[in-house]
Amino acid sequence: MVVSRLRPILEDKGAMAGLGVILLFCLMALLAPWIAPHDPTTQNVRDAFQGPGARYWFGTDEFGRDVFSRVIHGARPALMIGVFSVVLSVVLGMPLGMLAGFVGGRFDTAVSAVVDVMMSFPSLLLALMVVTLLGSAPSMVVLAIGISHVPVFVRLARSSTLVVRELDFVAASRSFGARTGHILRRHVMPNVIGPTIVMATLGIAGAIREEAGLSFLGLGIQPPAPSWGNLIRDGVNAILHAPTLALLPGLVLTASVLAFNIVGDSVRDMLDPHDIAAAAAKRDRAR
Amino acid sequence: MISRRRLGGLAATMGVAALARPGILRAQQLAPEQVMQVGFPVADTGTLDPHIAVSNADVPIVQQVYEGLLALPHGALDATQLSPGLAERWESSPDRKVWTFHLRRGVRWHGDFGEFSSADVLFSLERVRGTTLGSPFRGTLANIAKAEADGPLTVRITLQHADVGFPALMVNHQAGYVVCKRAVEQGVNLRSRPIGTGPFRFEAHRARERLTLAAHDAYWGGRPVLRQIVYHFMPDNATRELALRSGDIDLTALPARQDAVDRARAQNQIVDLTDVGNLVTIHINMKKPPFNDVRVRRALAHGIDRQNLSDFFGKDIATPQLSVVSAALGGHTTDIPLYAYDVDRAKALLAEAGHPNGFATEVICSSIDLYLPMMQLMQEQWKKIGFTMNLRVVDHPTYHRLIRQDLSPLVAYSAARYPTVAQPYLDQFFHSAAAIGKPTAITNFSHYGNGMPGIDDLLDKARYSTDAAEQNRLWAEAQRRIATEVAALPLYSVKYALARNRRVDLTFTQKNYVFYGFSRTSRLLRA
Repeated sequence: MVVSRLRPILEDKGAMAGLGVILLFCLMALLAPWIAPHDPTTQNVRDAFQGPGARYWFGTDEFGRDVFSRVIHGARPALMIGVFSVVLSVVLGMPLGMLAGFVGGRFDTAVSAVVDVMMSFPSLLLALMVVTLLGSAPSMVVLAIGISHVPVFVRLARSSTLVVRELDFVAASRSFGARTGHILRRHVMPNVIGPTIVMATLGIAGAIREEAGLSFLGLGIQPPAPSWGNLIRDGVNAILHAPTLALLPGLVLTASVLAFNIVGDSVRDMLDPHDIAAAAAKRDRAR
Repeated sequence: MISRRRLGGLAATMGVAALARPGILRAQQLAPEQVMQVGFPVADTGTLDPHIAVSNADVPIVQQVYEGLLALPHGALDATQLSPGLAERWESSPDRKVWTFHLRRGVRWHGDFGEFSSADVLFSLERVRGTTLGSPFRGTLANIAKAEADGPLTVRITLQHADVGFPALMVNHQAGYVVCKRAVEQGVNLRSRPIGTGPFRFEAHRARERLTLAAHDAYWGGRPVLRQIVYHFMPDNATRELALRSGDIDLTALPARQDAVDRARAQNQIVDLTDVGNLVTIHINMKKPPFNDVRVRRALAHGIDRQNLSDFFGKDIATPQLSVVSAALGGHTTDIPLYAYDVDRAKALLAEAGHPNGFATEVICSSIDLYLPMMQLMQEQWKKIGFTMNLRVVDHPTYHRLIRQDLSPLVAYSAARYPTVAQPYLDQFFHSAAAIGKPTAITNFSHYGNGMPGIDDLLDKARYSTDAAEQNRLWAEAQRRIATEVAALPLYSVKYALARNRRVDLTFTQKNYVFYGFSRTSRLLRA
C-alpha cells in the first residue's frame, strides 16, 4: 500500500535525484565537523584568495578560510532554519486556517484580513522586519521566516476546510453532537494535511532561499559562522578576481532549492486525487 | 648675413612659437568633452551643508562648492602651506589674539546671490558657533571672543586666548567654510542646495543615482576647465572597479586592500594612496563590566597581533600604530606603555581578573568594508586568548546611532581630525566633555575621564598653549595615561586607495584627502 502510494516518486527520476541531493545535504549537515577538511572559521591570511585546488577544493576567501569547509558547515543553518521555520509556519498556520474556515463569521473575516495584509508584503520583507525587531540569532531567523510563511498555510488550510465542512460526513458528525475540536481533528485535518505537506515541502525551499537572502544582507547568520547566504555575499565582493567564491556556494544553494522544489512537485503528484485516480485507471487498463 | 631686423623678426617668431606651443599642445591633448565621471563610493549623499557635513559621502562634494578665507593646498590637508582664498591677505596683532582678514573684491556667489562680503563671513562664523544649527565643528571656534566687520571687505576676529594656529581654522575645511548669508535668509536649504563661491556650482541631484556639479564661470580664479563633474553613486566595490576598467567612470575609490591596489595597477590605472592619518581604534567602554577592570583591558591589548592586521590589508594600506594619536599627527609619541602580542600573558591577565575560562560579549559592528573585515580578524585573534566576541552586524547608519546610545562595549572607529595635531583628536575621543551620554558628547566612547581620572587637565592646558614644546609634552603625557589605562586599542592607520584612468590630469598631487578633489585647472586629456 505504502509502496503503491510512493510509486509516483519512486518512478520519477527527477524526484529521486532531488531526494538524493536532499539526503546528501542532510548528511553534510549532520557530519560537517567530521567531513570538512578544515575548520570553517580558522583564518590564514597568508592563504587569502587561493583558487580551487587540491588543498582547498573550492579555494579560500579573503581571510584564507577554506570555502569548501564553509559550504559544508553552511548546510547546517540552511537545513535547520529551512525545516524548523516551515514547521513553525505549519504549527501556527494550519490550525488557525482550519478554525477560521470552519467557524466562519467575524473570526474568519478578521483572520482573513490579517492574512491578506501580511501577504501583501513579500515574505522576505516581513522576515527582514522581524529580524530587525528581534535580532538575528538563528532562533530569531527561524521565527522571522516562520512568521512570514504563516499566511500561506492559513489560507491553504482555510480554503480546504471551507470545502470539507460542507461535506455530508461533517454534517453527520455535527448532528451526532461532535464538538468543533473533534470535527477539526478527526474529519477536517486528514483532508487538509495532504496539501499542507506539499506546501511545506515547497516551503522549505523558499525558507532556505530566504535564510540565504537574510544572511546575504547581513541580517541572518552572523560572522564568522558560515551560511550559504553570507558566503555568497563575501564572494560578491571579490566577484571580479575570484568569481568561484560566489559561484560555488550559489550553485550549492540552487541545487538544494531545486531539489526541494522537485520533491515537492512529486509529493503533490503523489497526493493529488486526480493523479491517483488516473494512475489507478492506467493500472487497471494495463491488467 | 642676417639683418638685425630679420633677426628680431625671427626671434619674435620663435618666441611666439615657444609661447604658443604649450597652448597648442594643451589644446591638442584636451579631451573634447570636459565632463568628469566620478564613481562615488556611497549610496547617496547625506547633507551638503558645509557646517554639518562630516561624512565621506558629503565632504568631497562640499569641498568643490565652498571656500574659506584661506585655502589649503589642492589635494593636501596641510595647514603649513596656506594660501589666500576668499581673503587676499591676513595679519595678526603681536599678541596673536586679534586676527584681521582682508577680503577679495568681486567674488560672486553661485546663482543670483550677488557678491561675497564681510557680512557672509560673520554670518558663517555665527552659524557654526551658535546652538541653532548644531554644527559638529562648534568647538573648533570656541576660542573666538568676537568677530566684527570693518567695512564690506575687512573682518576682525578677537580671540579669548592667543592662538598662532588660528588661520588654519579659517580654511576651506569644516568650520572655515563661508556660506551665503542672503541665500540662507531667503530660505535656501543648504543641505540639498549648496550655494558657494567655489569653482563648481551645484546643478542637480537624483537620489541614489547621481549628483552633478557644473563649472562656475564667474569664479574669481578664472573659468574652470572642467565643465561638469558627475558623481555617480556606486556603493558596490566590484561595480566601481568594473566601471573604471570599462571607462564608464574616470576615477573612483578602491577598497582599502592591497589586492585591489595591485589589480588597478595591473590594469594601467593610476593609484593614489592618500594618508589622511586615519587611525583605526577600538574604544573600550570603561564603565561596562568586565571591561571596567584594567586587567581585562590589558589582556585585550596583549591579544592584538597588529602584524596580522597589516598583512591582511597590505603593506601599501595599513601601518601598525601603537598610540591613540596616529604617527601622521603632530604630537604623536611611542614613549608609552606598550603591550606586546602575547597570548599567554593575556590569558594570565584574564584569569587574574576572574575569567580563567574566558568570557563572551556581544559587540555591534558596522557592515562596511572599513570595519567588518577588521572586526572579524579581531574576533579570531581574541578567540585565542579566550574572549569570544559575538558580532552583531548592522548597516552603517544604524551602527553610528547605536554606538551613540552606548549599546556596544567595544566601538571600532576610524577617524582623522583637523588640524593635524593631537589636540582635536584627543579632545573629541578622550575629554570627559565628549563622553557619550553628555549634552556635549562627541565621540568619547570609552568614557575616559567621565567619573574617573582622565586627561582633561592636560588637554585644557595644551589647548591654548603657545609653547609648542610644552604642548608636545602634555600630549605625550596624555597618550601615556591612555595607554596605561587602556582606554582604547590603537590598531593601524589606513590609507585611502583612489584610482583614476590616465586621461585624468588633476594638475596637483593628491596627498591626504579622503577622495579626489578638483581645482579650476583640473582637466581630462585625450585617451
